[in-house]
Amino acid sequence: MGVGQAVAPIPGTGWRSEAREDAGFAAIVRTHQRMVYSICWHFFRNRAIAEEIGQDVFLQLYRNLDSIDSPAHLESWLRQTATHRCIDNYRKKSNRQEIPMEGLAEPAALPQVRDTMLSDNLQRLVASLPETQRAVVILRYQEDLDVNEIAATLQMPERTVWSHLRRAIGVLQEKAARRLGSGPDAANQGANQGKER
Amino acid sequence: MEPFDPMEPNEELESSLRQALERKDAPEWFVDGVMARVKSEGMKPRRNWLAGWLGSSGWMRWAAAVATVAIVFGGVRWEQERRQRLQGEAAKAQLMMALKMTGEKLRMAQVRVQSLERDEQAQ
Repeated sequence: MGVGQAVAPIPGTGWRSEAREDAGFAAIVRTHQRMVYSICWHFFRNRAIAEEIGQDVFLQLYRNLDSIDSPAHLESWLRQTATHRCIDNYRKKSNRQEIPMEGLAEPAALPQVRDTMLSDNLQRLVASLPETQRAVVILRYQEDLDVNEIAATLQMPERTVWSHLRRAIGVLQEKAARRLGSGPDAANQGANQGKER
Repeated sequence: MEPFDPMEPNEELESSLRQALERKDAPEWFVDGVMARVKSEGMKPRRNWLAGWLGSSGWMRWAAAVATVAIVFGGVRWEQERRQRLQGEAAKAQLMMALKMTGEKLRMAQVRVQSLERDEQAQ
């Protein structure tokens, strides 16, 4: 069986030896790469950094296969490690990225275009949040985790997660409203304002 | 827009956020990149300084094992000899003390006997 066709080994009896083989580990990477890469991409909005951190996460997994005991544990371990790696990398000065608000696309009148631009602008706004708020928002809306699951992933009290989430959504609402408006009329108004600048 | 209340979330914003933060596909070469790094970096950080120093050659490991055994046996032997020497020194000190006390008692007895002899001659 080629590397490309392998099925990811399921954590259980004897899975580690299978997972350490090229085909087995490649299958694990293939199964979870979307989640890990997306967390990193939404955190930095930078493909190169997302790739590098994503690879680091899987390399760390390879070295810690012994500590994984179930498929659910594998997924939560990857999610937790990816999030912590993103926060740590962001805190290293060299990787800090300022997301310029001036570069945000202006909303357009066509609904499809507007949706794409709204998504693009929201991604930029999320990537401009402080790192912990950013992680909370990504885990909440990309990974669809509950507050208690986010608290477990980030190893912080639920109340703190609520507080970060509330603050982050407040900022996003405020910036999105300022930038995009809350309805089609406001969007058009925003577009006109953008043209005037 | 109304301020965010976690108990009554703004559905429009939440839906937009879910759409904006959908999972993205990793680049096609991502898996190959990970596997290349696994092959080149694999378990490196897990190797401790000793393993790193010894490298992976078999004869070095054997030499290290033999040296370790020799050091352990030498250490045990040295410890046994040290204990025996200390025990011998303690026994010698006790003997010297006993001889010294015996000599002292003999000298006192001799003085006493001489004293008695002098008394008898005087009478």
